[in-house]
Amino acid sequence: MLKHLYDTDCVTWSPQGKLFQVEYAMEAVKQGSICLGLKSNENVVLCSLKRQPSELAGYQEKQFKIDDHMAIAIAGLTADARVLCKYMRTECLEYKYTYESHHPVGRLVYKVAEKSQHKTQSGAKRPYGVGLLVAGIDPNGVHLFETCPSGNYYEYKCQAIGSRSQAARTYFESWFHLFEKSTLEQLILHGLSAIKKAIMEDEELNEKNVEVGILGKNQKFTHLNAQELRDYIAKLDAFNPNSQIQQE
Amino acid sequence: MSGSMYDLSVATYSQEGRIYQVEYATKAVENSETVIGVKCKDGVILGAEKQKFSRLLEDNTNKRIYNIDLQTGMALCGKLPDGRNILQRAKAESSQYQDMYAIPASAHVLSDRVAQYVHAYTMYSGVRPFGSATFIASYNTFDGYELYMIEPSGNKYAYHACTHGKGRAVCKSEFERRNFKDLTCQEALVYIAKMLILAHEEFKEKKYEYEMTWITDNNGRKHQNVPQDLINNAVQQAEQLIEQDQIGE
Repeated sequence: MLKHLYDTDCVTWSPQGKLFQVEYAMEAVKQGSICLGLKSNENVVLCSLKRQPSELAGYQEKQFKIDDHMAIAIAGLTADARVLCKYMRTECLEYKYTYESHHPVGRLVYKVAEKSQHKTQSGAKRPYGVGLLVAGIDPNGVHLFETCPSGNYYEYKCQAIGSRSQAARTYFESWFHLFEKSTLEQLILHGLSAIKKAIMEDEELNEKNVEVGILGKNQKFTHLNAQELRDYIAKLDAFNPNSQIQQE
Repeated sequence: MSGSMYDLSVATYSQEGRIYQVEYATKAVENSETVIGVKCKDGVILGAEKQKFSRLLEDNTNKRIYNIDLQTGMALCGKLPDGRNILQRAKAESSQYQDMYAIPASAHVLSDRVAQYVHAYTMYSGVRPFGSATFIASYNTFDGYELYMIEPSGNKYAYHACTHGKGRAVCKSEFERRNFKDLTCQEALVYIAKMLILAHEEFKEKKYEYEMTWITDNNGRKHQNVPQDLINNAVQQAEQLIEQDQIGE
């Protein structure tokens, strides 16, 4: 099929009813380094692998606080992510000012999805090239959402996006039934184990290239500091999900 | 079916007078999950199948059927982001109508406005048609129960029963066989479930959820979710019906 005829802008449908530009934008997400999220009844944990443009450079941050009760992890074009992050932060502030309470997570994700969809329907615009994992806690419960460049959004029990994320998702499919009742420590160890599945053979997890953010019903969003990261990574080898089953 | 060089822009007619881009947008709807709308003796039911494409997905989220107003509902078929854009517009239209005329917008007014909005996106090369068909169901005291479907072309018709998506052929043949005007909404639930199950027969290993809403005489004529236990019962009974049909063949 003459794909090149139908794939140059967002306003052209292919004969099969596909929007190739939107699908290409989803590829940008797959090129970003892996980030994942998982939740229990009380906590949400976001883990991501940070990349370094060169030896002399710092590592690119992948997780951003939106409000005390909400945070995002990004995969894809960082500059596009900054736009969405700014939008989400502004919306949360305005909501807090008007209603004196936290922005419900699902509604903010809906707004982001709507914004993303508008960018897929004009010849003069391009879709956002970033996927977000939105972790948040509100009176409706503990949430983890994924947003896509297409404007779709989904709520998950746990999800991984970015490069080599299938390995992490496979880990999740085996163990996600344990997450609901897991403690915060178990959740973090599960997240790090899943990331470990997705790294290259010559790579190693250390406190510099891993980022872990946690949210709890009584815990505002915080990042684990370097020492805490080192401690958790040290516990990884001894961590055995099977022992968690025996406890229950 | 490829239209050579006349199918690259929505602002181009082909030599036979077709607009291929609109037809391709409709293709996107035809390849997606099935949605059904049915008018019964005492109300209207909207039903949609949702495939759980990953075990990691949360249950009962990712809705396809929304409220536009207390007594008006909209079901989205096709690309959900596009459908939600149409939904936002419908909500705004409904709200503005109520502001101006102090009564809720009926489906034939609302569907007219939504259809005009959808159609506008088929006229300019700077935008593209929506890859989404929408169903509007409502009740009001002047017009009673109404059901409309709006296609990506901007065409809209009032229906007794309508469907779009992958399983539309199966559903349409079921519509021919059964006279829903003689059934109450409660009785019709089983047949809605049956159609939704038959619509995805080939992909039996996947898990599906069913979303159903109704507006009936019995629930205060408001657009609400059908209670989950009624849906579960309907799905169970429908599976038995399908088995019996298969044994009969």
